[in-house]
Amino acid sequence: MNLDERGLPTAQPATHQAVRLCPFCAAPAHAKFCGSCGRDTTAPRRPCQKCRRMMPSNEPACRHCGATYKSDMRWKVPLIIFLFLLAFVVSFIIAVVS
Amino acid sequence: MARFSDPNVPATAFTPYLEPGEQLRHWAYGVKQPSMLLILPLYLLAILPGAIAVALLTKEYIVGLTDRRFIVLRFKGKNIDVQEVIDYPLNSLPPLKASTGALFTHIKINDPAKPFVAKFHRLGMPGNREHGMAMEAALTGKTA
Repeated sequence: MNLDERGLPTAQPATHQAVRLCPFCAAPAHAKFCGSCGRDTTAPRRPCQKCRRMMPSNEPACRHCGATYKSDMRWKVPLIIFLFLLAFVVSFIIAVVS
Repeated sequence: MARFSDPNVPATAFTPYLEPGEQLRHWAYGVKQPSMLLILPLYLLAILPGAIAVALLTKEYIVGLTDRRFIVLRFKGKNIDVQEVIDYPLNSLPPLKASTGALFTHIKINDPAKPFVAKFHRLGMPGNREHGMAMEAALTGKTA
């Protein structure tokens, strides 16, 4: 294996290059963009919450099952606000009672 | 204290994301907490809800260094339910900073398309510090 000055593997000649597969369609990907599905094979990706197949993080819906992505913030932010309101109400009640 | 008592558990989480013939060399568990500009007001407002809020807003990662890529898995839960996968080919790494202190190894990748920053506590899992330092050395070219 060829190493650069940082000790990391350098790009190999095409004949020796390991087979890369597109993370979205599993087709052999020889370039940044997949020749089969056309998507960026190096893009951040996440599993679909319904069918568990990979989809790019910047796509709002799964191409396979159509399920839309729902962020965890949908329930975390309201929960955090509720906890703070609860804390203020409890501290107010304690202050009044005492 | 440790998030994972068995270091092989996070290692196996990489299996579905490795390419044919790709070898996982080092892996580590890390977190990204919200900004201190958010943590401080949350704690000042109320300590217990602030602590819960910070825990809810903290992102958990396991990162792996293979012979080809630096792979980041954002996950949740004890069973490593992967939420997002980011990978950086080692032969075209973006600018990055990595350092190790007394408790944490910090890795920050300044890629405008897929930025990543996390810190890896030495007690995150058995061998977390050694793996973190080995990755720091490999990514920055320092001698471990």
